[in-house]
Amino acid sequence: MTSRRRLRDGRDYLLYLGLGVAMGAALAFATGRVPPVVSGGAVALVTLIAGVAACWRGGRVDEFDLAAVKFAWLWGGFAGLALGLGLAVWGWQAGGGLGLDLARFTSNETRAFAGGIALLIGLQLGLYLIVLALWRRRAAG
Amino acid sequence: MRSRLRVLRAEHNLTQADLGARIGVSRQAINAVETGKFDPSLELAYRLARVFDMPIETLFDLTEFD
Repeated sequence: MTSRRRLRDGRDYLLYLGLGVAMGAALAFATGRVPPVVSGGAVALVTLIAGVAACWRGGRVDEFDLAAVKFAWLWGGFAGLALGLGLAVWGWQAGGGLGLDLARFTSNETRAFAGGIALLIGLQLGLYLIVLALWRRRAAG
Repeated sequence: MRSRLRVLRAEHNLTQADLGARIGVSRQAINAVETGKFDPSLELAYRLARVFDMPIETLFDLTEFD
């Protein structure tokens, strides 16, 4: 092992921020403002960037950071998934109770899918980053 | 788990960053081991012991089982 494998602080957060922006742009494409082939290409690009970044960073993460990522993804990711699904169900029921016709938001399947994915991934990613930051702050001081 | 890491590191005039670089982990990892907030893997414990040329059981102390 060499010093090249040391984690460079802050780089992962910037990476996730960039990915979030890219995914937001991809979702904007997916809502129908551009042709589907462009939106599909944007999503593929984001996926490619994420895969390459993961491979590039993989050899530079030490066991301390690996423990942080595992813990944060297990608890933050799971909490985000449960919260996303819960919010979706609650929103649907609350909308129905208030007399809102939520079906009109799902009449466009592409838009409904993009919205659902954005909600789940956004919450998972957000809570993952929060738990990761808290773990590192508690452990590393 | 307690360790003598901080004392040994000071005796060898090494910073946390120096020690981390020698065994391939971050400065934060060394700090977390020294303060007992993170238990190192067996491999990392061996690497640390090797730096100071001593057995693992001399470097670490599993006090809760005493």
